[in-house]
Amino acid sequence: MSPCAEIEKPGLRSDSYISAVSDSNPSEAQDFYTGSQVSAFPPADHVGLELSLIYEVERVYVWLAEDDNLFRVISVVDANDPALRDRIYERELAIMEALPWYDFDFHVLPRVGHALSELVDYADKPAYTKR
Amino acid sequence: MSNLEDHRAKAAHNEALAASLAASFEDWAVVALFYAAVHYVEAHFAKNVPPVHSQNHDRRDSAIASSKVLKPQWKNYRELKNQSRAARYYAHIVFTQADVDAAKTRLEAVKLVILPTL
Repeated sequence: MSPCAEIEKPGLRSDSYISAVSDSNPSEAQDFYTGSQVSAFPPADHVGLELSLIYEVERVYVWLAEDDNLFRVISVVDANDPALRDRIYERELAIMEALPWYDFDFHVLPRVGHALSELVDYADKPAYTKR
Repeated sequence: MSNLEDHRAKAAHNEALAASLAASFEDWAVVALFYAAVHYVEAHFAKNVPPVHSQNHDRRDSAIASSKVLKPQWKNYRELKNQSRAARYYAHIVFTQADVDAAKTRLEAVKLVILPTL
């Protein structure tokens, strides 16, 4: 059984969609999550929590590729801001350090004022949504 | 498998391509700069005994994150990768000369760490 099989939802494109922390609050997450250590959370939860620590991250999408222990992760922000992306990259590195037995394909998607539904076909299935 | 010198040559080739594209095709110049970074990273790994070759981008990312030498360059490499993907797939993001210059700066930072190791 894969690490997150219990919360696996119907496939999105060819990958499996992993529901994680859609009800979490970033400020609450900061209270109990310290990062940079081996995680006690399911991987998709861990990814959502870690990236939610960046206030400007609006949504996080996480898929587990079925064959190769690979998580595909998209963080959605509004601004096309390299300094903001640098902060997200730091959190990505912390995720990789905490979950070293997985590979990750991270991407940061700047909306730049567009509705997310204009840009992607999976907009309604985030692993994390900013409240 | 390509060796260290093959990767160095390909990296330089991609940088030259970026320079030729930069005036009119800023998005593709950024893509070429990322692929220059890919080959500098692969050159670094190729000098290991036995040589290490990344199977794909994801494995290369993991290797960078676990490399004492390359890990400090994660943000620079990662920004090049992110911009490369944005340039290829997201039409709503417009690339300018400033983006090319920023990508060059990121690549130079990566090279500064890698070249002394080759």
